[in-house]
Amino acid sequence: MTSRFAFWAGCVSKGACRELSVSTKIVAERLGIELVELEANTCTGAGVIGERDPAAAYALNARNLAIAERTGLPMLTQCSTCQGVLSQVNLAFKKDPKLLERANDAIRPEGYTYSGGQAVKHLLWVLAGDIGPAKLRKKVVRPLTGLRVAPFYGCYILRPSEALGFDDANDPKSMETVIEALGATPVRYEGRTKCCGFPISMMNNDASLRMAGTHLLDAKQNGANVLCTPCPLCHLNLDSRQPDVERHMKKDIGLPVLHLSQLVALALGVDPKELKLPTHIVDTRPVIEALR
Amino acid sequence: MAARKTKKEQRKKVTLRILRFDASKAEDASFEEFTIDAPQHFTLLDCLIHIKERVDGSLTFRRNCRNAICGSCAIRVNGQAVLACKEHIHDLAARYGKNIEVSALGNMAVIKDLVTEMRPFWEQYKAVRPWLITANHAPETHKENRMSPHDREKLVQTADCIQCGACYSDCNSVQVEPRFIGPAALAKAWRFVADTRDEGNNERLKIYEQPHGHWDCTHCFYCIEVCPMDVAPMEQILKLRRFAMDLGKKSTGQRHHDAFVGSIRKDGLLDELTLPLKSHGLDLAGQLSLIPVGVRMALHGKMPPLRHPKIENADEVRRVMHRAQNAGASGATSGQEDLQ
Repeated sequence: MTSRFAFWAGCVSKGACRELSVSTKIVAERLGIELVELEANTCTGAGVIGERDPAAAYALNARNLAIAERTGLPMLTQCSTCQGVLSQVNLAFKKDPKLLERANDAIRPEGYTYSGGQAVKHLLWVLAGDIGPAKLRKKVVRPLTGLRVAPFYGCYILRPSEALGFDDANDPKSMETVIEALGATPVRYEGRTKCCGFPISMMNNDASLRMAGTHLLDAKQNGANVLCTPCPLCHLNLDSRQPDVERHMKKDIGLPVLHLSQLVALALGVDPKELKLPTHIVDTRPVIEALR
Repeated sequence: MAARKTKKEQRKKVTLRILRFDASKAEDASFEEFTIDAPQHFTLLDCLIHIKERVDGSLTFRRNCRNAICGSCAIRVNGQAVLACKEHIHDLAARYGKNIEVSALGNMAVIKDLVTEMRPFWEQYKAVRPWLITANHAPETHKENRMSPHDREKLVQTADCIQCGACYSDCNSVQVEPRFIGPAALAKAWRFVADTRDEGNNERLKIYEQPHGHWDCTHCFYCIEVCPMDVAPMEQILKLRRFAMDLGKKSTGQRHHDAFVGSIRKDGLLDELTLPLKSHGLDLAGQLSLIPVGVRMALHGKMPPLRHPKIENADEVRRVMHRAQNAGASGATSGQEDLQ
């Protein structure tokens, strides 16, 4: 398995979810993965730039992928949204070479050309696929028995399946595979493949809160004592806004939300104090207590 | 004459767990299992017809053409909307295993078994005025409204819609916001906005820009994933959005998009601190709604940095975006290009 990756942390993990990069880097180190950080990359646009101006989004991401290509390494992402956008761009370029040509026209004067062939993988896929559950299980120092983990995939890492393709978009298994390998119990619930509501938090706040609330309550009703997500944008709506969700739904939820790499870090024996868990809005101490 | 040897068709035993329900009875919905020794050519619809004809005549479902054109037989398999006549049962078994759960479409009340009340779907459909709006009903020249093949091409994808309801069933926004016009209606809306014969854009935009119009779409890709005709409703919604924004229609969504693009053009990274403020603009209620989460995040050390970081070579990014945005034919924006 490749042990070196060109690493794109993503905007949110440089800002509102800084704790994510901390745990990803610790996990990479413990698993023998070298991360070569991409300093010159821009935001992928999160689908928002692609909505407003597809040509700009293609050009920006052709530049991002060309920079990664120069390292000669596959790219690693820790955000479902970054993964989704880059995968969609790669597919669009494959289906319509004119789009790639046009994007290259925009970046060539800066000295970049993108071939169209840069591999981009989410940490989840590396854990579930490249490393695999058997090897991952061997690395577990603190089995997460006591944790009933509800996986929240997030839209961009599953759909459209033509662009992503790692998991079955309707019945994904990669999170469950990782959760089981770490010694925890995965919780099955309907909301695990649905939208967290983050994209419409500005445009229809109530609907956004209802989306988050419906899936959080669904997870809880099915026995979860923690939610885990591979997307920091989902994390923001499910964790940072959970008190707003509770107020809108008129129901207590109190379900802690972990980033995927935080869950892995705990299983690898990392001291919880290293993971910046107090940044989370919903208290994560019950998770640590459940592990004792 | 020697008897012709026919190749024996492969068969597979498949169990359908069908959610039975009758709204006229006071009983909860419950699953019933039917095992079929299905030949390879059987679709899911063939299985349902087989059950109805030979096992349980009370099984109720809509169907007509059996040929993926009438749109009647949309149902859910393991929670995902499909067109029953388009799914080969052996393929479903290969994907999901031999036990397959079948239920009615979502986001609509169930009348009986696999039949749903589609009136809300049709009401939303009518709401976007899905017909040609023109004063020119009797053209003088050529006695017909001419459209070039190039212009016709713009409509093909969205015109393929067979109104099966699969996208509406699985729409994550409709699930929590039944007032949302929905993906099928908005895809049809684009079909008319893009139609060169249509003159009703001002009237249409008034509808689409109001609350629960296209801005309620949460960009989850479910409609693209489930559409059996590759209409890609979300793509059509985005074309509508670009069209409205290019026309200068102001809204929180438009401010959000422009602020996002502006942030990347300036710094290469997203300025998370100012984005929500710029999105809400002069909407006081919107600005006030940010205070609780803002304070909470600040207290937990989650505030994005006040001095927003730039990437190295931020100038380069500006030039790349400028080039991309102005590369369209005669300097057209991406939104304008959707119509060219």
